[in-house]
Amino acid sequence: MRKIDHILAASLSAAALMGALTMTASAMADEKKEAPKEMTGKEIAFDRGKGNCLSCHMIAGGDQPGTIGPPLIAMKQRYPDRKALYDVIYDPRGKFGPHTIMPPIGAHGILSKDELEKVVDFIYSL
Amino acid sequence: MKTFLKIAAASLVFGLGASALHAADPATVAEAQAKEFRDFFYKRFPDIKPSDYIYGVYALNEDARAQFEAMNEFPPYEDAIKAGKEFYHKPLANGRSLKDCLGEPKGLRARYPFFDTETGKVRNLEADLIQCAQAYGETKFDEKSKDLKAVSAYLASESRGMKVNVTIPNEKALAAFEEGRRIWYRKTGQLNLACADCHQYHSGQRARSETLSPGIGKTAHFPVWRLKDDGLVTLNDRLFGCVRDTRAKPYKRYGNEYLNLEYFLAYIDNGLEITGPAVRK
Ligand code: HEC
Ligand code: HEC
Repeated sequence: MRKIDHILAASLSAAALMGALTMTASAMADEKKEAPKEMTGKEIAFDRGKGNCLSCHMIAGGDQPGTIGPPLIAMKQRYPDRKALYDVIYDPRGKFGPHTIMPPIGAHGILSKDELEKVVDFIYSL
Repeated sequence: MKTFLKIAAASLVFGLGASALHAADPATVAEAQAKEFRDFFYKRFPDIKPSDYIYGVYALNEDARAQFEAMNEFPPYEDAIKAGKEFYHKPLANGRSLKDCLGEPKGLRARYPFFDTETGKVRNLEADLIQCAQAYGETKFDEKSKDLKAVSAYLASESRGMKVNVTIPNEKALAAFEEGRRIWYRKTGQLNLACADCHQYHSGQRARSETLSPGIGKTAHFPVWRLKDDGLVTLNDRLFGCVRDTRAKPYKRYGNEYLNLEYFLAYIDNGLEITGPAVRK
């Protein structure tokens, strides 16, 4: 985990680093229920009121991840086709069946299409 | 001869009826379903002693149990039990007390929940307390009142050490039990989650830092003192909260959904020790 963080931090661009910093600020603001206007894919994925992916998945850069779902790593290798990754997040029931615990993030409007695209970009970069 | 035939026919019908009834005996049906449910967890958690399920999430490993024991060193609910005792015995607005309404406190909690064959509904202790208090003119004594939670804690303490013993007296009671079971497995809300998703199929895993407790031992220790809220939480509060967390429109407080769910879950807990109030994170 440490190592992944380390590698990730090293490869972060200045812009992404800015994003990571605002993330901390936004996580704090989030406590008071004022989501900032433009959230990054990472922020949306981590936010409890948004994707909340971290509640079930280990994701590099996220604290105290849940253990319910598989770690989200090496996504490009596992999903060479970005569309397939989008589809599984949009409605995981397609791939995993009706009993999956993973919420239908797009199909139930948990995230908007725009937010979902950003999350997929972020997940795809892992 | 004719009468003889009649009697024979009648006893034949009666005999058939009785054996058909026996095959579908509501208590037997419920017990078979409960066994299947409990076996799921006994198999998933072979190291948990069946009687230890009362510890909820703290039954899962020794670290958690140590944490639990530390939390219990100075029980934070003692004052609430005292206040509840006082409230239970004092005259209310109309001069009568909750004790006049519900009777001796010893063992009262252990008789709930139960299926009321007269009304055809499950009865829950806190709902009955609210009904009594309101009938006696205490309009502020509702599901959110601190007094309710204190009385609930007091009555739990008066049944400590007794065993959960929920019965299924008839077909209608079985229907309530089965409705509770259906709700347990039914996905609800924007997040499309069922109780079973978190507390059965993924029990023992973590949602962020929260370990998900198993489906056995959900009722016998309530109300709980939640350190996070620094206050008491009734079983209905907790069920309400878990439904709300799926982003479903929560069912009405003490509505049939919760009553039946409680009836099902309490039946599952049959034989476990009543330990409320308990401490939870
Ligand atoms: C309540 C738990 C939960 C939440 C919240 C959740 N997931 Fe999942 N996810 C799972 C589980 C469990 C699986 C594995 C499928 C299964 O077992 O049904 C999964 C599978 C996946 C997969 C497929 C992985 C693979 O190996 O093929 C991806 C991608 C994914 N999730 C991304 C996300 C993203 C992105 C979010 C947030 C926007 C998210 N998940 C939110 C539980 C969850
Ligand atoms: C998204 C996951 C999730 C869902 C769905 C869920 N719960 Fe929970 N529940 C939790 C968490 C987390 C806790 C706190 C940790 C624990 O004790 O399991 C909890 C606690 C509880 C407790 C208190 C346990 C104790 O020992 O004090 C009860 C009772 C309960 N849930 C019942 C239910 C019921 C009934 C449903 C369905 C109506 C349900 N839950 C749905 C996550 C969930």
